[in-house]
Amino acid sequence: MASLKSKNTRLGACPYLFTAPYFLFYIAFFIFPTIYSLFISFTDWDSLAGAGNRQFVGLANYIRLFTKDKLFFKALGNTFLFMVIYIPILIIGGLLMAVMLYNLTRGRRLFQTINILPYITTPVAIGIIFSFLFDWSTGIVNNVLLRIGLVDEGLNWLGSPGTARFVVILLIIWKNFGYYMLIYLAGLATVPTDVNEAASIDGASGVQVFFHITMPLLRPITVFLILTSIISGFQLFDEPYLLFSSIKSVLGGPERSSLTSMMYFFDQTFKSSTKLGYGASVSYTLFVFIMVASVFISKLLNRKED
Amino acid sequence: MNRTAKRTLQFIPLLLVSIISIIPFYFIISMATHTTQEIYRSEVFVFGGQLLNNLKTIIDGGFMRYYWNSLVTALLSAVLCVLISSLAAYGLSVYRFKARGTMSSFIFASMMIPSQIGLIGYTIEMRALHLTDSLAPLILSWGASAYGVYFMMQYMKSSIHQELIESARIDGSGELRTYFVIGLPLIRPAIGTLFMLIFLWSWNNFLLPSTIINNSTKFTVPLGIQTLATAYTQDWGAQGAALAIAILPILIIFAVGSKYFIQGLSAGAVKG
Repeated sequence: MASLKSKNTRLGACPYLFTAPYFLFYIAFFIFPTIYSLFISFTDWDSLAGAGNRQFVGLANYIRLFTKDKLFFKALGNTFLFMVIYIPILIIGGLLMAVMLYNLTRGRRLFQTINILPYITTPVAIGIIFSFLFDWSTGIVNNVLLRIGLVDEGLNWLGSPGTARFVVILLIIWKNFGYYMLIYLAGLATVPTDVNEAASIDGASGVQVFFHITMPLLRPITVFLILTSIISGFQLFDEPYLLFSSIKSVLGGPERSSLTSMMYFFDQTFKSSTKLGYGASVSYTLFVFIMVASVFISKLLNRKED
Repeated sequence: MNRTAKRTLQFIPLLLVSIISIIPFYFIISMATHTTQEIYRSEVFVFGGQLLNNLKTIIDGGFMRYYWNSLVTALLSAVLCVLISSLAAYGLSVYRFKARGTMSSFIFASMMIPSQIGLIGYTIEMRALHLTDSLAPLILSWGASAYGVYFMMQYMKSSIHQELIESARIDGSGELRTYFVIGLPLIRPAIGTLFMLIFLWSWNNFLLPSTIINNSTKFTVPLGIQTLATAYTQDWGAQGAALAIAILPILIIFAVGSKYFIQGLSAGAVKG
């Protein structure tokens, strides 16, 4: 009896022992730095001057951010603009392509594999690849446009605000298209075929089946994609950061037209200035925006369902 | 419209999109085979013969060092994440205990929090631990991957049966031994998938290394590419070669395990 009891106590400790390494890492390298960053956001701290220079300033960083920092809101606006354009294109395009791919009897895996390559490619490399493709004098895009006579002289794609934004949006769509297609394809595989067949027998056309049966069944996938796109959209950094690095423009391209919120955070905290306190307040404000946007969008999407 | 015509009509957009997906890769490889003068003369539409020269330029520039750093970082990150995530997920899947629900929902909730929020705190923490300019900070954070635990739990739900664990216990196997001998073999596909995903994310990571690493002997590949892009602005062939070999390991891993990879990428959406 006693031995049985001791065995049970031993088992009782097991789940905690198994999860302990994770929670140790989690507390040390996630919770602690996250809370520490919040604390830093209430201080005025230029890291070059060392920790002795740190002063508690309360909400001053946040007040300055919301009342005086036009550049932050410009960056936030750019990020929103990008998302508003590329998310619908990716959702509709990805879904359409997934349906076409689903109807294929052969070569499905090949198309899937080819189109996921941009998604897994190192983002820094993608930024540079696109700066080559859209270079004013030697870029391949201008070269092709000139050859087929669509333009008389090469466009300065990365040199003016409108076309620079266009290139960034194009880059994001190019990179993520295969991923959206892949997720929708995985979703389509879970749609029971007998439902579609029953509807077809009842005389519904392919288009009707798609809009009235397939699309509603794929709703959770669409919600997932939109939510994760918003979260990753706020984190957009590597590609636009590298895209303009070769043409020596100001941070974020011509007239800062492609400055993203993450680029602004990085630059304020680690590059052009080392204001850790202010940078931390930028990152927490961004976090609140992400959370509010996610909750708002998921409420909106779930309400429509009823 | 007959069936075949309809099929062909669907085939064309797929083909177009696929071509657009791979064209930039074609030009990168082609650039790697040309001199800068040839690229200026737009000879980049066909391959040239300068690949070895361009490779030599970037190797002389120290690129192999970055390569080694990235390889070490990505491998250790993946091992650490797989080990710790599978242990935690096993603990949460196999045992029924009081804090189980709270722990699980805690992990799920924290998946929504972007790790960038803690970036400043993490950088200062690493400075205090005297780990800046080492690869350790780039690896350690993967031990705290909520996604890793979530991913493993999803897989264990359908693959680990209590009866198996129970019978191992009756045979006198210790709990940790049961995890290694019974548990891990059952989740082998999930281990492979998570390993590949973390390798990929670690290899591609740019933001964290650029805040932590200043010493160029500890640069990872993305930092190396960035340096090359500014140091060799005039040598486009060398840049092309650097980009080509930077994405090569990922393409190899992907080619070997594309099936698991694709399953892994879509797991979160379909089950979640």
